[in-house]
Amino acid sequence: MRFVGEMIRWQTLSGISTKVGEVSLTPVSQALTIRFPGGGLVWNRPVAVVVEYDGERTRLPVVDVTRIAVLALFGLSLAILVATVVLPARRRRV
Amino acid sequence: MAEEKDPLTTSLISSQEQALAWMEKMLALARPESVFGEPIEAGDYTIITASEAWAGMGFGFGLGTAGGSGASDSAKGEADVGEGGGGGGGGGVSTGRPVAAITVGPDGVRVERIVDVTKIALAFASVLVSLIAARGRVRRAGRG
Repeated sequence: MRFVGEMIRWQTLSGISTKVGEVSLTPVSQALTIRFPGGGLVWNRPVAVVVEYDGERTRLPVVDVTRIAVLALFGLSLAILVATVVLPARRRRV
Repeated sequence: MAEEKDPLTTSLISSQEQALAWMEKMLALARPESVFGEPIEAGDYTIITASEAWAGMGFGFGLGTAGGSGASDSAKGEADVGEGGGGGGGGGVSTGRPVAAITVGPDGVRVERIVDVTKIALAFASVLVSLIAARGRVRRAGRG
């Protein structure tokens, strides 16, 4: 189990804060790291920005509209495929 | 007496170390600084880009020796070893896509979304083609 944990790591990390005027911005990202003998893979995506101003902390999420749209399209096509191919075939068998 | 390594083994070890160093460099991509850019000032505004990043790599090495007779030449004091060979290879890929731009200006901090219309259009086209193909298959099955 520990070996798997060393091979696959899914973590949310906060970066170094940047000062822009009186505003402090801290980037937050989510990274998937897969290590295997003789190679590896890294996927990193921005998740949010933590804004600090006048002693107040606000978390602004970074939404990836493109990824959501692409996943929604594939989900929809999968649902239509199931409805048009798999379900009629089952009905014919019954 | 120091043990001497043959040039092939030495070169393979150095290549392997180089590959591992490259791998460590690639794994450093998991830091938040890798996906958030440096602040860019434009007039009253400061812009920080946020991008999604992918990277992958793979490598392999092999070393082999041809079988020798193993008999030693006592006059020379050398063993009869067969010739050998080795090699390695590897490859990698990395890609990035802008997701949002964080703007800091007189109106505060805002996260402006970046929509990749081309990617969505390509996904839509591939979904449409697969659906048309599935429909055609269902029709053919219905006739048969």
